[in-house]
Amino acid sequence: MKKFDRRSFLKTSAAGAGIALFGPRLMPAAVTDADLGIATGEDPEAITRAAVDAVGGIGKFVSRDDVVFLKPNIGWDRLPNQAANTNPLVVAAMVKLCLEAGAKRVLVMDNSLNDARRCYTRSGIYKAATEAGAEAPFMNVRRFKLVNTGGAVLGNWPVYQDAIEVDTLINLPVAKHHSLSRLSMGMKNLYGLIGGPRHRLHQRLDEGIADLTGFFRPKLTVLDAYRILKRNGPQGGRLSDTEMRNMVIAGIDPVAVDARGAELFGLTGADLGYVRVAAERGIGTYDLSKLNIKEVTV
Amino acid sequence: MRRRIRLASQILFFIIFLVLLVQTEYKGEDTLGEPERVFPVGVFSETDLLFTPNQFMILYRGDTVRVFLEIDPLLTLAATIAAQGFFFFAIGFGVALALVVWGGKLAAGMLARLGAGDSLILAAGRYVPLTVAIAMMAWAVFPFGVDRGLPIPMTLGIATVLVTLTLGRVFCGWFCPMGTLHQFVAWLRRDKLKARIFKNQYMPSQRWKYMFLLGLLAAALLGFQITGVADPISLVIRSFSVVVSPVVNQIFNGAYDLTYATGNDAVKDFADQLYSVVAYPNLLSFHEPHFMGAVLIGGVFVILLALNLRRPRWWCRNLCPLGALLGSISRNSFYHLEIDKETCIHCGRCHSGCQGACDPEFKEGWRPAECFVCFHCVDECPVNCLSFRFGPVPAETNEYKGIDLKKRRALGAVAAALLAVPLLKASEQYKTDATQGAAEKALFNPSLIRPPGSIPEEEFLQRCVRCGECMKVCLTNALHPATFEAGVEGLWTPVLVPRIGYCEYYCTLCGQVCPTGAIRHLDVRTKINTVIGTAFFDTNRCLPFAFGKTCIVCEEHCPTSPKAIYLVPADRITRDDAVSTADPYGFGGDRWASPTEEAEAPETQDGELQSGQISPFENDQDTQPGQISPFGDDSEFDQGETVMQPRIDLDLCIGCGICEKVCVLVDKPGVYITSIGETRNPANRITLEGTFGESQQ
Repeated sequence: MKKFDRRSFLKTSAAGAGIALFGPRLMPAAVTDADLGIATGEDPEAITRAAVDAVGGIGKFVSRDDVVFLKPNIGWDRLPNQAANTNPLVVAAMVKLCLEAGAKRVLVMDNSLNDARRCYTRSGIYKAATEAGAEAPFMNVRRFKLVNTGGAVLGNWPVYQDAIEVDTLINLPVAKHHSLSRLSMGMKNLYGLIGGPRHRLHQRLDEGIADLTGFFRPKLTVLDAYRILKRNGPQGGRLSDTEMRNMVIAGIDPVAVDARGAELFGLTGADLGYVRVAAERGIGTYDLSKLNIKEVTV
Repeated sequence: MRRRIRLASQILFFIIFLVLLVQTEYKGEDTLGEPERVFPVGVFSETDLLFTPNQFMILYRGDTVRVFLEIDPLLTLAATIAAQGFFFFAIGFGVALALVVWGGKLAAGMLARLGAGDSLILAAGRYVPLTVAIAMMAWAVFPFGVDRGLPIPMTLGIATVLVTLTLGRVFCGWFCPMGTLHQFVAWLRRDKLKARIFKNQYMPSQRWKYMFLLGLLAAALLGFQITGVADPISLVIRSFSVVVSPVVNQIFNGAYDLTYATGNDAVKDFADQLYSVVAYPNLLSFHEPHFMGAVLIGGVFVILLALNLRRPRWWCRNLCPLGALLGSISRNSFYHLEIDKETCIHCGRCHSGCQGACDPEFKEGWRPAECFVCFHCVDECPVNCLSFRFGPVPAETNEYKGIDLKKRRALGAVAAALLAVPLLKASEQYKTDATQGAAEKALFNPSLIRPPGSIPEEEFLQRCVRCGECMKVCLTNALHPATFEAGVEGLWTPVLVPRIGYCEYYCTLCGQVCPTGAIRHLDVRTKINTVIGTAFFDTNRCLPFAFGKTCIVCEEHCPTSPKAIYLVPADRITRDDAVSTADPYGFGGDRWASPTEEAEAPETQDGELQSGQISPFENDQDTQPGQISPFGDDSEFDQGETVMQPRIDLDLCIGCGICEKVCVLVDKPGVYITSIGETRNPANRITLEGTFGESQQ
């Protein structure tokens, strides 16, 4: 039997402490990292941080000197309390997290559907993001590059070059109703990174959304469910269309995040066509029972 | 010296004009108000937050080019006539006219009986009528005009009138941006002294502008108001908004596009930096604007500018109705030119820089109505025999000429207008439908979609001065100058063209910039409930109806809540449901085709015919016969037997046009807007409920 004296005890303890403190960074998939992090609470910034921490912390996704493309939903000319765009406080929290992880630049952009000036301003995202230290320029129409996305439906499509040239892409959607795809959450949010005649994708929407996800593969999806849009999506209008959920759901698997998000609307991942297509293609899974889900209340 | 100050003033005001023009655009707002108000946690009176306009959308009026329109007395006059309605103004105008014509004599006579001095009598004879006219105008505007929605700042034109009364046509010589531009173009010619002396002589054609003014005002009294087409401030703003701004944008954007076309990242990055200096919100527009009818407006503008190469300030001297109005006032101005005839050597150099061609040499007398107070004559005179002085114009000589307009010509101009008006109203859109009562119009132009907040059409046409500010400021480039949608009378008034741009739901910018209140400034809550038209589906083209394809991009973009487009499930009908052309009634069997016929059959619409097989119903669901899927794989995803078809809810559609704008049918849309249901015109309805105001359509 090995000698278990004080010296070896101290060594073992030190090693254990070292692993406990630095382990998550040394070991990519440590035991403490959940597949989905769900944080609930009153403060949007606190729950965003908690959700990201639950899936391993921002350091797992953003390294020092990275250029990060943070893709919130800034699609519509609506105020934050109308839940058509990502909550600006959630956006600000993510910007701060990225900068704390040492990111060199954080870009916050979307290809808006209403007038971009109004969308950026009235959503509160321009102010929140720039005050937190990000850059939030309007998309430059000249920076869409024709790319072979490899998608069954998408094919060769104009893609915003900054979104694919950066080190890290983080998807920052808001959970909303949508008449065609039924719901618009993380996977549908990637629409804002493409140009061209994207309205035609409606003709094969579920496959198109799966194509988008398969191509962009965001490193992290953080779903803003602080206030969700339950009807008349994707932009709503009346406050009665919205509902407070005080929740943020984070995950690496975009299919799983959307599947969990669907439950906020009384649906499951299997009810969403684009989720099924993506799962069939192996982009992710919607079987939540197989995942390690960590729920935190802040 | 004064000449240089005047030149500096012209340049300064032109720069101010350009700056304000660029400022007449939505710039966004950086501040969003108190955080706890904008991001409320929990539920408390949040509804009002949806409608607070101030933080996001206001263009402060002082920051826009509108101020130039407000100081324009011709537009004040025209808008007042429009706002008053015929009878009020006719009576008021008639009384004022009488006082103007005879009031001076009355006052002078009274003063003479009281033993007043000659100069006082003279002054009374001249200035009493004018003061009366202006007082009547002011009285007309405030109690009645403002009550009927005429924005108060429009009355600033009175200030210009008072200035002109005192100093002469300094507006033309010192401030007018149109005048400065024309003077600049004329200056480009660099004529020699002799040529300049010749070109700046008075010409009889300079009386055309008075006839033009009279014609415009006479027509306006009859309810046919197109003063804005010819007003110089309106013209220059319209031309810059609709023509010059797009051209400037094209030049810079084109250059920027070229740098991106190189594909070189270093070039692109450098170009990004340069471009950001001129890009929105500095000089260029956010979206490159393009306007319908820009070529016509631009053509008129360029031709007028080109005429300066023939005679300097050709427009100002010969056609400008504002110049005519100010000239009628300035002919008795306090500040006037005087000549020492004994010193004059008749060299003619006083003409060489004369802007107004007012004959400062006093050959047959000076024409104060034409003088722009440019001070060229005073500076050029080698013997200093000319000077400007304060004081009433002496009347004892023939040296101070009135307006060179005989009664006959004046009456002719008025008569021409009075005849032209019924002639123009002979066209079809003025027809009324006798079966529905005299007042009911027979024809409604479906393309005549007016901006939200527009007043009823008859008064709209009278109030709109066609300045083009609303078109410039419209976020989505949706408003365009009409050509004939509203008849000749509606030339260059704003119409919404949804194929080009839609009306942004929460935006009220057009009402904010309209100087005359033709488009009222609505608060946001009213605006989103104001109907400007209705959407209709063209089911021959709309994808779910005609081709069984899923779409509903229109429903996705509809901004109302609940949405005005609702979805109805329908059978997905495609070619697969078609009958076989070989066997349309489905009798089947060989009786309809012999084996030899079959074998020789050319490729039919049913695709490849296998021998012995007629019916195409076994064809592969996903790939059409004879066609290869463009992406190699067949669709892995069965879209199902049901397709969603969109329908319009007449009670909710406001006609904003976003559905037409985004419809994937890029040429002729599958959903289009017509003016039916517009709130401002209760006659423009299709439903019975709409007739009684129970429904909006």
